[in-house]
Amino acid sequence: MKRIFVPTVNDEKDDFLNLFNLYQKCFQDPVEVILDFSECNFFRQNGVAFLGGILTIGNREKKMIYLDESTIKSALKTNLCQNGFATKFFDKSVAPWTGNSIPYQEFSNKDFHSIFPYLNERWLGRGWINIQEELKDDIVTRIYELYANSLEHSKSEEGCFSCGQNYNSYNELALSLVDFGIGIPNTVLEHLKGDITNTLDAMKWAIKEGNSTRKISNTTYRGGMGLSLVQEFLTLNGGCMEIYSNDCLYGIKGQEIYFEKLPVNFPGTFVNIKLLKDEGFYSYKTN
Amino acid sequence: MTVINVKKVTDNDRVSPVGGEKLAKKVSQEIKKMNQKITVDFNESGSHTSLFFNAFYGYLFKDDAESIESIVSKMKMVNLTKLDTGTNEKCKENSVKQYSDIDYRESIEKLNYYEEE
Repeated sequence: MKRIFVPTVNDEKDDFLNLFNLYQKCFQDPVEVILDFSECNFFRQNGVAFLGGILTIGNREKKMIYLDESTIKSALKTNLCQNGFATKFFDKSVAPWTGNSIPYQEFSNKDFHSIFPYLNERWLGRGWINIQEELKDDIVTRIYELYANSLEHSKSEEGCFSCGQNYNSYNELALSLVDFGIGIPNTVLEHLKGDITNTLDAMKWAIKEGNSTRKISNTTYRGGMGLSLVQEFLTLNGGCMEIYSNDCLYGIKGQEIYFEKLPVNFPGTFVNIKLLKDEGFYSYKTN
Repeated sequence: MTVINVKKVTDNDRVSPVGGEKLAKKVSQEIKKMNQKITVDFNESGSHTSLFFNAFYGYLFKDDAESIESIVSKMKMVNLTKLDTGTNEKCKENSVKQYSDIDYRESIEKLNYYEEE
C-alpha cells in the first residue's frame, strides 16, 4: 500500500498544481493508496471538490483509495463534516449542517435541474453578500452555464463535483467545480481537427464569443457563449475566476484577463470562482 | 395583439433548453394561428441562459429557414432583463446566421460529421 501525503490546499496556482500531482500519484500505480492528511493544515473547498472526484473515480475503477481519518486535523474534520464530505466518504453517522459551507455535491448528467437550486439557495441565497436581487439572479444564471457546460461537454462519466465556502476572515465567498472529463482544450482540438494545433490556442478559441463544440446534428440548437458571457459578467463586476483545464489556465481578476501554459496536464476542468464580500452593497457598477 | 407570458409558458424554467423549446413551440403555434405580430412578455421571469435562447431560436428557425426574417419581425420581446437583452441578441444573431447562411451551416455540419466518424 502506498501512502500519499495530502498537501495544504489554498487556491493559488501552486495549490491547483499540487492537486493535479496528487491525482497523478493516486492513479499512476496499480496499488492501494492511503491518503495521509498529517501534512495538511488547511484544505479549501477546491480541495474538497477535487478529492471527492478522486475518490469517486477510484471507486469506479476499483482502485482502492483510503482516507487515513486519524491524520485529519480537528478543524478540517469539522469542516468536512459540515459540508457533507465526511458523510459521503468516511463517516455516515455525521449529518452535515449549514454553517459556512456550500455543501459538497456531485452532479450527473441527470442532475441539470439540481444545479440552479444549489447555486441560488446554497451559494448566493445565504445572505453572505449584500447583493442586488437582479444581480444575484444574473450571476446564478451565468454560473449555471458553467455547470451545464461541464456536464454537457466534458464527457466525464462521473459528472462534476462542487463545493464552496464562506470565508469570513478573508471576506470571500468561494465556489469550486471540477470534472474529470477530457478538458476544454482537448475538446476543441478534437472538434477542429487540425485548424488549431496547440492547447493554449484551443483554450483561447473556447473562450471566444460564439465558439462552441456542441453538436448540432442531434439537437435543434447551437451552443456557445457560456464562457464568454461569464467572462463579460465577472469583468464587469470585479469578480475573480480561474479555469484550469488540461495544461492551460484561463483567469479573470478584475479587469485583467490572462492565459497561461501549465507544467502539469490535468485531464479535466477545474473552475474556481471567488466573490469578494465588500462592506457595501454588491451591485452592477452602473447602478 | 396576442401576448405570451414567458414565465407561465415555460413553467418558470429559464435555464434549460427545455424551457426555450416550450416557449418556441407556443410562439410558433401563435404565429401560424394568428399570422400577426405577437408580444413575448418576459415580465418577472428573471434572467435566462444562452442555452435557453439558443434552444428557443433553434426550434423556431430549424424547419423554416426561408421565413426567419418574417418570424423575427412578428415577435416583439418585452420586459427582458438587462443581461437578457445582450444574451438574446447574441443568440438570435448566431441562430439567424446558422440557419440562413448555408455555407456557415455546412461548415459546422462538416465539423460535426468528422466528429461523429
